[in-house]
Amino acid sequence: MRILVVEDSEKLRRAIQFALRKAGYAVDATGDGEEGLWFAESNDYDALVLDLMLPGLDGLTMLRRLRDGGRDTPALILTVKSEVADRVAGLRAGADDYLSKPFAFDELLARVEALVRRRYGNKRPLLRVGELEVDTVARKVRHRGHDITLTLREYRLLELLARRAGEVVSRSEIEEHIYGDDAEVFSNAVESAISTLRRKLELPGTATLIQTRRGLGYVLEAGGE
Amino acid sequence: MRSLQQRLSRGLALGLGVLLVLGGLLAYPALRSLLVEEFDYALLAKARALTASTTADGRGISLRFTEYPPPEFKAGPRAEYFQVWARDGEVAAKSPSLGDAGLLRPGTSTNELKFWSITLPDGRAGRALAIKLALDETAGAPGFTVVFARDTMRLRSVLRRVVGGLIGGGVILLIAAAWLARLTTRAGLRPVAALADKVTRIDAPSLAKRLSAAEAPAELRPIVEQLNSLLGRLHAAFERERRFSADVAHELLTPVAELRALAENAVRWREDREATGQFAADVLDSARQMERQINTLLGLARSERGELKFQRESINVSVLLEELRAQTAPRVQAKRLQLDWLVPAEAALWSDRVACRAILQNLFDNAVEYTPEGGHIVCRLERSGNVLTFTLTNANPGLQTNDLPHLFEPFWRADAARTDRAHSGLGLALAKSLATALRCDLRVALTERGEVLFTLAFPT
Repeated sequence: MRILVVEDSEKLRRAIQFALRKAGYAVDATGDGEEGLWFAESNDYDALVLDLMLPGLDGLTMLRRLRDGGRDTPALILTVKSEVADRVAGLRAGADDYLSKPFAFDELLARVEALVRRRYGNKRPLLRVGELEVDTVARKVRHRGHDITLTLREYRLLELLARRAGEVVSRSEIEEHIYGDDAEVFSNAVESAISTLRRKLELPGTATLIQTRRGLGYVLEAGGE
Repeated sequence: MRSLQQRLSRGLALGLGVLLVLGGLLAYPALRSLLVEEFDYALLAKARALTASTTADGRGISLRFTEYPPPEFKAGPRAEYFQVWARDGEVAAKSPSLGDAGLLRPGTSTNELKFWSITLPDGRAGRALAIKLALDETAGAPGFTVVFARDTMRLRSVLRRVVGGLIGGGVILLIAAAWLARLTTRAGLRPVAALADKVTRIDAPSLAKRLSAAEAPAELRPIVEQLNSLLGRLHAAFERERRFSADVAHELLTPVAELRALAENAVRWREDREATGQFAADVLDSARQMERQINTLLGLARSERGELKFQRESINVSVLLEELRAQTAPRVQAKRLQLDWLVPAEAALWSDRVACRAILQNLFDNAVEYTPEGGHIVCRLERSGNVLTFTLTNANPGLQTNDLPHLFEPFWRADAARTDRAHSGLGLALAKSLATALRCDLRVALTERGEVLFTLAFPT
């Protein structure tokens, strides 16, 4: 899951970036509106966290341009402007949610999670693929009733595949959503992560859940046909 | 001052009262003479009847009555009197009511009527009439004089009733006039009462409303217009205060949001030493920023309330500017700004050192902050006559002519989206306020080349 944070207070930006990373998101961050728009247009983010008062290009204009360009990345506005008129203007400009500063991180994380869920058309926090259950709130995975212990990255990878169960997810998409721009991704990082995940999900007498589609990517399917 | 209505109604009632008394005083003599005339007319009719009953011929003068003596001429409490004189003055006849007494014969010319007031023989007040008849002497009919008198009891009683009526009617009219005056003034002053009512209901939330000048009577219109203009100014001041408070809250919310986010992270991830170390440094920075902002706000408030106590002393502005140049040098270098320094070595001024430094520093900071990288700043200090003028010219591409009036407003920024944390948005407002308090003239203009030009004139 990859998030873009556009916030002009450097300290706040650092804090949000830190908290989102700790929550397992890949985070890009900038303090400039123009740069934010460029980031948002050239990458497929799962959510945007957007301040309104930005140098270069203000948040509302940035959001409007992004929407005009056809990008429907879910956006959360995070600002000190908290009057009804401000909220309405924000939502009308194409924001999906609004949070006023100062805020609690728990709330910010919950709202970002909700935005990401909505993006994949899944409002229920529990994803089910055959006998595999992914609890996106507790970040717990069960397969045939067995708890599976995963690292944060492995979990994020599984969650991405589970959200798009039955669809082929390309390697570059996985790289983008799991590692973000800032991490140096080794060419075999995705392969090795997939094979670890397969091993952890493997249970006696079951076929592997994650299929490789050569040249295309990976797909998570129930029963592993 | 007492109530306007009381004054008006009292004045009106008093005026009407005086008019009534005057009217009564004028009416009474007219009525009296009218009544007396009526009385005299009746007297004349009676006297004529008497003369008609009188025959005068060669044998003498005789009076003939159908009944003798006629009842009104008998002696009694309301008796009437007559007396007839022959031409030679001899009494020819008199009423039995006269008894031994007699009436006076006035000296009158022929055919003349004469009325006068007399005291009747029995002491009653009365009125008399004398008629002198000159008959045809050649036919042997001698002339004679008749005097007829009767009491004026009825006349006096009527006059008394007239006076009573005048006084009674006057009192009733006076009361009615007072009531009318009250009613009229109340009706006339209704717009004043309505205005007072509206004004009483004005409070802080309703300052945007205006009183209707079109409905007000002409006399009140200037007051209503003045009140409306006062309300307008008050409303603007209130709005300014309200906006200022909202701005203050917003400006302080950002560092508070930072503090909260940083503290939450530090608490949650306390085992991450490296990260919490950075959070602590950031918290300190945010706290310092808030402190700076609050101090600037307090300074601005004190300066605007005129609470600052200046200690005037001889200061060398050139030295002050040198200090500021040294202080801002790292930022000037970092932005590769070119600083043209046109400051004489010595520029003495009698003023407050701290306030002057704060003004100059804020102007300097503003120039360094908003000049684009690699830009040009011209700093000039010169004396002409007894005015020491400091000018600062720098490029500020975002600024338009219509921005200039707002430049000294607290929290105003050319780029509304910009909330640069390093600046409170109060620097220029503080500089302006301090300059005003020091009686210096601080202005801003755009040069032909679109540069912003600050001019600070110190009177020396």
